[in-house]
Amino acid sequence: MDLFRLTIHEASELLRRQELSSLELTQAVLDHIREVEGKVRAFVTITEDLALQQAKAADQRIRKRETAPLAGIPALIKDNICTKGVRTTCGSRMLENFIPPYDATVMEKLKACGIVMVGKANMDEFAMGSSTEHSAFSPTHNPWDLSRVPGGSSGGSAAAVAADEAVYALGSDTGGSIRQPAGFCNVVGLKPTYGKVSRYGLVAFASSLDQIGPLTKDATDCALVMNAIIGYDSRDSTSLPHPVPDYTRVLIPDLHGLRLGVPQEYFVSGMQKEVEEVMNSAIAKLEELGAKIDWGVSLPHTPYALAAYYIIAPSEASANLARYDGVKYGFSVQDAESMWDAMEKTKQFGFGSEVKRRIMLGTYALSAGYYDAYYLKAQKVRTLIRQEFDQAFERLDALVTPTSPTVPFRIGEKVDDPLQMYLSDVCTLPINIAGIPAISLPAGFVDGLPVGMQVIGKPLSEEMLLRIAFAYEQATDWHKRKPEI
Amino acid sequence: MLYSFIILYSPIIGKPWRERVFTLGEQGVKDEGLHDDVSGGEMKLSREEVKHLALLARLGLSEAETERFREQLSNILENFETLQQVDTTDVEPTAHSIALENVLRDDEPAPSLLAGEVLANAPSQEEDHFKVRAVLE
Repeated sequence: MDLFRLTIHEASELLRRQELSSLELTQAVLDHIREVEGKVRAFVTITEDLALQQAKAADQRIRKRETAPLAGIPALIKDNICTKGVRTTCGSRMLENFIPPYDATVMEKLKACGIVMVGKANMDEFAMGSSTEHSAFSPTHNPWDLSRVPGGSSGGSAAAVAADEAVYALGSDTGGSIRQPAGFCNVVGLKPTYGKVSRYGLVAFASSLDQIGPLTKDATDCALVMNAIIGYDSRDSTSLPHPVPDYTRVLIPDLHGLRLGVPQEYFVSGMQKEVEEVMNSAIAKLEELGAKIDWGVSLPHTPYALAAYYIIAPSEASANLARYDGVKYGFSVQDAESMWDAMEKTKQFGFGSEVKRRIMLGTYALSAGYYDAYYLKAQKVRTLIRQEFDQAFERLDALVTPTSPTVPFRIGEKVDDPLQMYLSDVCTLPINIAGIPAISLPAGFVDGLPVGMQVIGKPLSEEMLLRIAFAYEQATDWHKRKPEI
Repeated sequence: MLYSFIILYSPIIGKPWRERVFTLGEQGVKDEGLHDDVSGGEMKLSREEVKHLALLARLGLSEAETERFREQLSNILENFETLQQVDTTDVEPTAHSIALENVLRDDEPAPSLLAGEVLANAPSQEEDHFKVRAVLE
């Protein structure tokens, strides 16, 4: 048996029964990373020594029967989540040598569970992008076809889980950055309700949209990681004080009594015909499992979500990224004529082109004379989009859509055309605008390339989404398929 | 067959060029009106506006970047004009999707980072302080 192929729940069971040690499992994953990483390039940093040390510590805990489901399981963390003592680059030259003096809340929680961290995942710079081509270091390659993108911005996290370079990964999702790469790489990815997971220690991109979440090999693993990372945190003022459920309790392979809607606006004209066919059979499967399907749902403001998103997110980004002034940390140009000159040059040479483009776009939308027409207008459209979802959820338990309108595109295909790149998030970004949860699950293939199905729920309905994902998974085997690398 | 005639002129010396566009179609000649600043083709943003935005953001740009951003941002903003079609009369803006109000915590002492830890990533420092360039010269 190839140990690196194990899921969390499979490995955890073997560890608990002491038929496997974390050290053996970690060594197997590290060996596999050495074999395939040259082709996939999912990592910015591989933390081999740390992983082996944490594996030994986990084994000691397991021997003392102090077990948690994630104890001793090798994981990869997106490189915009602060890890104390391990550099956190955000995929940017700006933070190439930044070593955080503290852990993000999610890292504190995972360390308390006995995490084995094998490294930090590659990503689009500051999480801005849909292909991981905007990483300052290297593009990540899709394990299903190395000439194609893994999606983004959590492309390293998704590609690594698909290629078995980590048993699970954390990503972050501002407009689809967990779900779109999960769909492109045939793994499960969940964006929780805004406020469910603490953002403390997540490098800020668009603070009203950002949310950390898991990328895993199946729905059960997704529930296990959710259990570990959710909860109220006084260090994040947007953290929700709601009770914390056990997500594994809702995993039942039956959908009777559920009403699912298919919003027609998500089957757009630019959509690939084969993706639509995959979606139709996936939805038929949900119906077989007992769900009632409403094919006639309409969310008429959906077409405006793209513009609203690409005004709101860059506006918040332009404010958040003003902190990179070359004074407190990060890249800094010292050879300059004045303070202002040093600051301008620091940003000019520290940021890549997509980050600069969004700073410019956000600065425009927030500037005097344009604020009302762009930023305020977008915030009002945001209200309408949220109201539409709320109305739909009055009579439906969840909505089902494709995660992306196409299969993974080729590396280089959209990198010089920002608008085309933005369109690949058209199905995922309305969900961030509304602050609601959504999951992407493996739903089939088109010519050997994965297609993701997105299930969207009302606020705090993660249990419902995981139940649907689990039931679908029990009836299909898409999530078990593995790429040949 | 459709022909376009463009007449370029600068109404005031030193001001940006303007253009007047006429199209010749099946209905004869149609006056498409005046368009501002066509010194590099018709775009939503001028070079000066792009440079002004970069200054507001304290973001240095090369000449090539200025031109490329002018084209790309103009194109993006034109596409976003669709937003103006949405009727938002009496609609309140949403800043945060989950409304929480007055988030306060007790003011209790708690451990914080040591000066050395905070300064460890500083590009330039002196005697436990961040070192910056002269602000007033």
